[in-house]
Amino acid sequence: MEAAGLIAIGAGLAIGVAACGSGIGQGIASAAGAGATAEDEKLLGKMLVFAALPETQAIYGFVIAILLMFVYALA
Amino acid sequence: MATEDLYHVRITGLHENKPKLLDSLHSLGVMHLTQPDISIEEDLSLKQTEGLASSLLDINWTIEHLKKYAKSGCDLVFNEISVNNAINQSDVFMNKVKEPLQSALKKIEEVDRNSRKLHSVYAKIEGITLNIPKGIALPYESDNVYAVYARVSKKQVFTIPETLSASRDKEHLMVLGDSKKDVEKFLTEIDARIVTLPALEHRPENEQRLITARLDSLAKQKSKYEARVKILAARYFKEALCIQHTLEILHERYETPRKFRKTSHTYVVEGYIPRNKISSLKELAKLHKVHVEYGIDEKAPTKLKNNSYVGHFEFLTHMFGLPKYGKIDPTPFMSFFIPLFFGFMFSDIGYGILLLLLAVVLMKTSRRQNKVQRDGAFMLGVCSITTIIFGVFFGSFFGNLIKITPLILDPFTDAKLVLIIGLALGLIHLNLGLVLAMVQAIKEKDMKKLLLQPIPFITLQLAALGFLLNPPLGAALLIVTLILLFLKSKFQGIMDVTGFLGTWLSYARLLALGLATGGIAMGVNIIAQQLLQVNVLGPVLFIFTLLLGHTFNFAMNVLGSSIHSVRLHYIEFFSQFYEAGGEPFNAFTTNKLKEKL
Repeated sequence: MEAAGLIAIGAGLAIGVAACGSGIGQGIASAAGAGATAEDEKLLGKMLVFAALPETQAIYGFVIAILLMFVYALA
Repeated sequence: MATEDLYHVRITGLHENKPKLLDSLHSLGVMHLTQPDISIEEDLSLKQTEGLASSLLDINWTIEHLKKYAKSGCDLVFNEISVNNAINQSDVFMNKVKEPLQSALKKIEEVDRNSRKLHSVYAKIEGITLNIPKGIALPYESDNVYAVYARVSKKQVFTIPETLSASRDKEHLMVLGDSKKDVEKFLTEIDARIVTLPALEHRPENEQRLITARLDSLAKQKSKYEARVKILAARYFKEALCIQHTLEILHERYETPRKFRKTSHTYVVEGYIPRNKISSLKELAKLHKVHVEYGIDEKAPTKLKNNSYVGHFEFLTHMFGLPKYGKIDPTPFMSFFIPLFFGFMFSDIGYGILLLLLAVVLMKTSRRQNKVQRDGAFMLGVCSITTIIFGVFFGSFFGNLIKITPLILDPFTDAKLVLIIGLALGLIHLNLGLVLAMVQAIKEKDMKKLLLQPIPFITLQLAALGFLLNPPLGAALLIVTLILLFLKSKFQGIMDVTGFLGTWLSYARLLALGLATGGIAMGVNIIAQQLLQVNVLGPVLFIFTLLLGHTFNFAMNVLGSSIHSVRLHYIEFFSQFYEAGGEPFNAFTTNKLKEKL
């Protein structure tokens, strides 16, 4: 297989697997946040921020994918 | 940048001057009162607060039920009034309103209860009619007849013994049995599905028609009773709000003496006051012949001190938790970086214009009393301007709906450069946090905190730079960093190196969200272009897809960009220096702007 193909697969895996992990984390955080907001609607703002916390791992995956596609591929 | 400087104040006076001083303090509206640790005896003020509390309960009940039907609130101004007059005013008002309101609400509740019952019966019939062919009367039991309705397959029909069978046709079958047991036994044997029937007087379809008619009639009745409440709301809601406002202020005023320490002749009031207001308090002391002492206290509550622009962002600091007294207020920095990050992530001229319109509408429609809503709308307005500016930089108008030449770069062809800009912004942001931590530590003269908290992360960055320019210097700086981090919290401290790197990389979301906004918008445009080629319906589908797709993208990315801008502050920026946990400064005042409705 050519290097470009391997790079594309690597980039896809990097963002895909990281996004799956983030998704599971966000699901757990959001479910808890929704429960808390149901009891006190003033917590909505904080809940949204907590729900966004696990997204960082997807961002790391995204950075790796970008680096693979735009840095390594062009090197 | 810092919180408002406050004095701790102690006022000592004689009991006979207390009511006048209380009124003046309330009108001055600059003092935060504190609760002493001692209990107090019951006095006249307690009786007055009980009367006020009881009237408040009545008024709150009225407002709660009228506000659903009220069109508008009103500006609330407090006019001095005695407690007895305020309670009398409230009683007179309640005598006018309570009875007709209670009666209308009772009727509405009754109509709702009957509607719910009918809806439930209707739903049951709906379920049954799916199983029963139309046009047949449902069988019912009588003294001599046992009735059961069951579904059986066509094949099973022919297995019915002759002894049970009386008639059969295409749609239904009447089975006669000598006893209930024979029929039940047979139905169990063939595994038939027995349908439970509700007690209906008519055929199901007729019954449904009747229920619909009754529901219509109930809806009309409800509208009639609601119209009565609407009339009451139009007539009395504003008056109720004004009475509530007066009662709340008086209740607070007469509740306040509980916070006073006292002897048989004197009382002591304690609290905090902004330092620039101390002269007003001194004048007040002269007027009421009371003694005032004041001094500095580190346990003071927090009062943020910002200009009107920055003030609109204070709700974000409140949401996280106020800084402790005398610590750094992060609001001015948030008021600059939040619009910057938001614009970077949303970066689209079209969406920016839409957001600006939305912000203007929100500003116009939000009530004057609802400060958070107005501040949120103002923040969105500022963010919309940065969105338009970054949209011009990156050449994006609803994605690529109209082709615009980027003023600086195209993020889809220069993603690496956008990533570098995003990370550079992150580095500036984090270093600002580290500088603020240094300022705080120097202000507190805490050298240990200075050396072990912000300094290692600055030397870490210098080490990275050193490795590029002069590797031996870089290695030396890295060793210094590791030693400082080890001293901070042993091996766990050394892990902070990767932690800081992770925090920095988190700013890559600036690129990620920027690309997501443009990418989804371009996707919507491509789908719309494809649909345009459909015969006849093409233009309709094109417009529909554009409207739906861009509305979705707009909503998702306004939410995403807001949350991530705030999150970059709460998690990444605040973790460098911020100490929350301050008690909010609540002035004892008659000038309360509150959310009504």
